[in-house]
Amino acid sequence: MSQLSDTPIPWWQVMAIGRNPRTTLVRLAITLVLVFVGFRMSIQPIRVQGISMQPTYRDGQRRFLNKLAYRFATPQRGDVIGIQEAGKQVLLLKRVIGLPGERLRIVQGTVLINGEPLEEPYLQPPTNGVPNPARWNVAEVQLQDGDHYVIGDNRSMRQDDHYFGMANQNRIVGRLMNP
Amino acid sequence: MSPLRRKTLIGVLIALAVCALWWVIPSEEERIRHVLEQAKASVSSEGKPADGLALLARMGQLTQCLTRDVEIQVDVFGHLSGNLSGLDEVRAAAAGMTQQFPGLIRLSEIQISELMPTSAKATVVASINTGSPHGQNAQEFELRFRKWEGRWYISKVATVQALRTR
Repeated sequence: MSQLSDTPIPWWQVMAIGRNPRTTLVRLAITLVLVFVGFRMSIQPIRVQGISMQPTYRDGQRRFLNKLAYRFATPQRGDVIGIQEAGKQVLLLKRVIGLPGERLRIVQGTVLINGEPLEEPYLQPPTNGVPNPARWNVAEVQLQDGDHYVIGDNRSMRQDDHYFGMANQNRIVGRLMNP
Repeated sequence: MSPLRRKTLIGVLIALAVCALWWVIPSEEERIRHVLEQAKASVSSEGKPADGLALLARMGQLTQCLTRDVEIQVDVFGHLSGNLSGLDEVRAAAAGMTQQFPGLIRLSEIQISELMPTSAKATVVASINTGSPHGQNAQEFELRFRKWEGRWYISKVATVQALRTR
């Protein structure tokens, strides 16, 4: 028996399952559980539906949200964020344009923050000839603590068909990882 | 039987009795969930509308879940907006809805909060599958419950808005 236990383990077996298969199996299980829990806690896969973020994000595209992005920070202007629309699975994907404490209004398509026009380099001209942004108008709103004003990048569509407004911090799930 | 064994046996029996009680007597949360499921079942259908008698039975079942002064405020962006108040109005609207737009309703993410002796609040995500490829819609609702003579009733339903304009 002692002769058998002293037999060297073939290198390919060490590479594949380690010196002690049982220990390797336990390590593998722990690693898998940690990866799974870490992934669930920090990342949420999403599939874009609808046209409100076009042309930046198109219907059917798959992306990931970083759920830890706002654990120790607050959303910044220009961030693309996921907002709980119906529970934790149905999210809105919007861009932050107004921050807490600011006054915001939209005049003929131009966003004014505390009276100053906002530069929006992410707005791309659409191919159908309609200007982006179109001549939308929104009366002035005062953003309270925790309120972020969010809107889609496709502002060539009809204003009435575009869902936008103030989102409370407690409904913000995370920031888009690969903008 | 040794004293140690007897004590262990008594401990196990007490634990089993507590489990049995918990099983037999539902908690207030479970009672509320039951009312939600009952209300859902009365307006949910798999594809085809209910006929006369079945519809009557369903509306009777719905009546058992709502207070007489129930209020329903629906505001789903781009789809539906309106208020209903009173049992009769809600029952008529529910009957019309189940006939015209039959669909399988699923409730998920039920969270019960502010549980008081005679009132409670719940948030729930309701999704309806009408069978068409784009027929799946989910909406979050906030519900208020009132307890009357030992039974929970839905007194108010309102859609939860992800974004506010004001």
